[in-house]
Amino acid sequence: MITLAADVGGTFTDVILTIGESSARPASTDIDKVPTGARGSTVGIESALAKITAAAGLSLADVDLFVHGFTVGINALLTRAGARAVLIVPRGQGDVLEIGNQIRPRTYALFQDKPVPVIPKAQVIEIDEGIDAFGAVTLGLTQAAISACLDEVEQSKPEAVAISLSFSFLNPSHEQELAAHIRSRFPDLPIFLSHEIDPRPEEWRRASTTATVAYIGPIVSRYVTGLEAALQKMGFRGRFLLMRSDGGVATFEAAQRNPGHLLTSGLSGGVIAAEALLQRAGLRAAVALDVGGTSADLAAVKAGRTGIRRERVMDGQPIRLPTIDVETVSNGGGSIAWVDAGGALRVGPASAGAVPGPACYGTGGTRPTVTDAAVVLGWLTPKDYLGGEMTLDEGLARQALSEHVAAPMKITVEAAAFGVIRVANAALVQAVRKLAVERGLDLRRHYLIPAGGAGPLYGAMIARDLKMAGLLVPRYPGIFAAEGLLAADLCHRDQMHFHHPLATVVDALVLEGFDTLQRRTAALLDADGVPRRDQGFRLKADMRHIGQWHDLAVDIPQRLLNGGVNREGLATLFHRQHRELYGHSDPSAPIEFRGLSIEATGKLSRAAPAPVAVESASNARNRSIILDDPLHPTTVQVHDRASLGPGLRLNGPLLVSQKDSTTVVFPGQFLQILDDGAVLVLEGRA
Amino acid sequence: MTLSPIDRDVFQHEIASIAEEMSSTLRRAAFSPIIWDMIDYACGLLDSEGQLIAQAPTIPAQLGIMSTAFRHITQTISISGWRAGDIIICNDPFAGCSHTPDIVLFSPVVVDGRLIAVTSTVAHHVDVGGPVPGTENATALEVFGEGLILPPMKLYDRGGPDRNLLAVIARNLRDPAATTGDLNAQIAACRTGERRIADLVEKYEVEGFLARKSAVLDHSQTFIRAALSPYKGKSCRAEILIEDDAASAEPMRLAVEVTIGDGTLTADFTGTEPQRANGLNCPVASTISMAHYAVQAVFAPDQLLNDGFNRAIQLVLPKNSLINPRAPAAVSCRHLTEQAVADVVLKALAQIAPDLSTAGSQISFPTFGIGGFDHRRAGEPRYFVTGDILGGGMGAGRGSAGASGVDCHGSNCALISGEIMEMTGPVRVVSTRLVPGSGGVGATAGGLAIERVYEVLADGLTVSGYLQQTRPETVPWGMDGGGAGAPAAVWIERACGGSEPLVSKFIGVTMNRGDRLYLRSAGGAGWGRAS
Repeated sequence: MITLAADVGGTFTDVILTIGESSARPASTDIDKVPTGARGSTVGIESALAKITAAAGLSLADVDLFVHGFTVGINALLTRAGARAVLIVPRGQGDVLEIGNQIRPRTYALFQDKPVPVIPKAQVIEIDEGIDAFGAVTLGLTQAAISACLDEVEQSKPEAVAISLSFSFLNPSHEQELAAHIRSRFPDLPIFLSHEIDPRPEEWRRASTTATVAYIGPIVSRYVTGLEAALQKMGFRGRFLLMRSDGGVATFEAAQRNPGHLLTSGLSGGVIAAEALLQRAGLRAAVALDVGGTSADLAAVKAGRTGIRRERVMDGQPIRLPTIDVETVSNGGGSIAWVDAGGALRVGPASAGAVPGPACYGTGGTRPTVTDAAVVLGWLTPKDYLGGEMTLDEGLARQALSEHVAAPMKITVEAAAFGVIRVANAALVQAVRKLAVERGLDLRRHYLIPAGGAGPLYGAMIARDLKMAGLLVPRYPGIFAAEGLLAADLCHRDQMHFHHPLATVVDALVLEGFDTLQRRTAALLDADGVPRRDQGFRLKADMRHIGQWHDLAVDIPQRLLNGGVNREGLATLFHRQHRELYGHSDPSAPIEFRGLSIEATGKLSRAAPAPVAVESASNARNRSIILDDPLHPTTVQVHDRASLGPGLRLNGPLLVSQKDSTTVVFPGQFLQILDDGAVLVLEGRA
Repeated sequence: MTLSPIDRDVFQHEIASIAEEMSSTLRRAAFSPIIWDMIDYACGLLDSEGQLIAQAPTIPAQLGIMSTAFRHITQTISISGWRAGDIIICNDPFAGCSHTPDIVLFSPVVVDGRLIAVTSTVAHHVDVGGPVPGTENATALEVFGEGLILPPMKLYDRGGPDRNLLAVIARNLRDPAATTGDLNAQIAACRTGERRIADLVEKYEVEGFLARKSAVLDHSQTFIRAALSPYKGKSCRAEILIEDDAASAEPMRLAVEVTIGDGTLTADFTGTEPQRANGLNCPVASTISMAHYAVQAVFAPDQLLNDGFNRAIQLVLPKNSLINPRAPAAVSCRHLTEQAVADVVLKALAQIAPDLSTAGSQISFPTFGIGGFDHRRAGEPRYFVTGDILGGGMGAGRGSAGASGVDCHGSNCALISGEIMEMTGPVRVVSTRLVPGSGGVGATAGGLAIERVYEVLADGLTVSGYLQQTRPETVPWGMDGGGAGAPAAVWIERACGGSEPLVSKFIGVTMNRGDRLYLRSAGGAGWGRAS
């Protein structure tokens, strides 16, 4: 089996080609990293796919499966370059997106940049209708109201329609009736209904979610349609799957029902890859840290799995769709170092990004970045960057650091460079600690999995500061997210509003609810072509104490539903989870259901990873770099990644250099190469 | 010992991280939505002299009171008597705290018998007793009408709780489970801070820790001196009026003269009027906190605040005045007046540093509570209580319009969802709108106010509420010829016809099925003459 994955990032597109053992060809893994090019265009990715297949002596016609992660949706949202959409809300709620929850983004600032709503006031249509908190109609839709609304839709000439009416999660009839009228007058217009996209209470969050889906839907559809056509033209006949925000993959047909599931497609790959890496290493708990050019993504893997988050606020818009629980902080290799009015060294949040880029790129950047500091310290070799495809200019890096950090702080350039790394590291340490406290992790039992080009540079420093169990560097840290695309399974999610006390709800209602969800998602997996034996279902219930505000999503094992609802068992699970998350629980307080949901997965067969072998002879060389004292450089050995075979152990300090990244191992640490090629770094001596 | 500036800058992250961890711990373990959703709590770290070293940026109004509380509390329980494992509790507005619902805890960090630092948490508790649920009461005459007063005491002595004191607390307030739960969350946060500071002291040793701590405070002082220096020698006086409407129909005057010296800023509140027999007096800790907030908002909005900044700020607070009342003044509704403290300082600073300032923002803070019986379900009617807080318009800056529909100065509260309100009780949100034309006109316009209309779905409900900026003399002030923001307002339209205006403090008004409450905040003021 031959599989191909491509993960598009803001700066680079990462590609990975895996030829499985069972194929006629020898098993192998090839990787590439190419500039992403113009936003939303498929040209960059087409040439990347052509290049990597040709290099392996193949064409796209030989590829069985192609999995794609992309940032088109999130970019459209963040740059407000989405589709022209209209939002239909009940009379009186026309300002719902603009007012939001009235929170100021910056508590201490007089000047506030409130995020611009994705659908401006002029494209929000109010309609007379009313449904109450019990689902009863208080004001019916009239023919006059509907035709006035349709006229307004016509005038707006939208590319998509979002409808979010009152209490639609209790009674969807108004949304359905209005949608039917719109569909008959504008048959080609995509319509997104709040009771399908996000059937939960709170009018702003539901409207915002639905509006965002309508805003990015047409953009994502256009991109994927274009790519699909291009792939076909290149001879591709295999299966084409898209990475979802929740860590699953989907066919394009399925994804179009709710393109919101593709919004943070780009965040999922790295986490799925971390789960798979951890499993191969026989470990259970880790923090995945992917340091890119402008930001770093962090995720906690507990008992082999990463949690799902039910809401994410992106640029001020709440989006209530399940996404992998990843935190993003603005610390990357391109973060700019500067000195504040009080003389303190700060790193970020501004970033040099890909344009103008770090000073050492020689592409116009003049401000010093973390990457420039790594060059001055000798951690990055100017001639080896990206496997020699790019040469870094150390002189420009020194000049930028000298002018903007060393001179104002009256310290040497080396001290400035070391300071930038230390401050950047301190900020990432702070971010990992926050993640750990909020998720209840004991970091001493967690490994750090550093990925992205810059992650392995200071991963060892972070793991040491946090007294973590060790560092686990993947074989290809720079394209780790793309690797994750090949480990994901097909996924569908469904949910329903379900508000009943646990003590008194009739068993049949609960069972029927889960049954409906399972039937609906099984039909979707059938449509994907997944045989029944490869279909899996995880049931969840949103539960809370009666009178409490926050729901917990509790995993419900099937055994608690066999032969009736095991209420005691459900209560025990709820209380346990409550204690884990909040530190306390009250088993005497009554519990209620707030919703039921399901995660349906379809197992995919895929190529087994190629066995790791030593690819080149050792040509370790000595280099003098600054590791712990800017006044006293240390001589370390630099090893080529391809020369390190499984089982090998080496004592630090040393550098491991490869096309997509550089790993720094500090004095007092040692590395060990695992069977899958990953590098384990631990404190002590080999 | 020699310390590089980088050592200091790394330490800044480490110490901020501890305050953040305390904050996450508190929030995670808390019981009440007031902490979970409204984030009405604060965590900080002080040195052994009570200087604030670091804080987690939650509610500015609470963060600023820690140093003041420490100064007062150590007069009663000398710092030499603090032992490892102690938790000191206090909520006394006349012992450096704010209003009685804000309970302050301190705990010492002791390393090798030496007190190195102090952790502090402040949380707004749902209720601390008194005549009305929720304790806050604008018509209280004295602090004795504001529930349980806790003078500085040890809640825990060397790790052991004072069970008598805990029993007294639990018996004197309406929701002991929530209060005990939230107090335990505060204690958990203090313990987290103690543990993590001890780790840092182990890493750097005592002298290294103290040297870094001092360097961080000195940096902040250097920063604020640099930020103030372009305005050296400037001085400006400002006054504003806010409604009373509880003790008197006569509005109340706040006055300040701000003077920028050589790296210093003095705010002299002489001319602010005497305290009154209402719950609107602002205790001194809250006044200091909000004056500091105003200076930071203008000169250092993106800096992590500590007492290094505050060294540059000198306050003159006339005794027995609205902003430094004498016991036993009532203070439970001080949040209305404390916003006015920020507003009057900002009004003076707008003249001194116009490029960094805005015209007057809404501090109208419209809030209400409504309760009664819910008959909508079959069976026994259920008692319910719900309420809301509205944001409004921020003032325009020179060259930038004011933000619309936001909660301003000192707090940052969320608007409750209309659907959640209707699921909680028989109250329906009929509309939520930005009010067209409510922003002050100008070369740049002020932000828009919010108007919310609530329809009552049951008979015999009781509603009470507070707001300010309802009159021409109290509305947000324009700058450089810019127009004032539109006033806040509240009124009821009865189902049977007829409109009833309400005053800015309305208490115990009855509403019946079909009646509608109209609540409107103030708009932000404009900057510069409109062309």
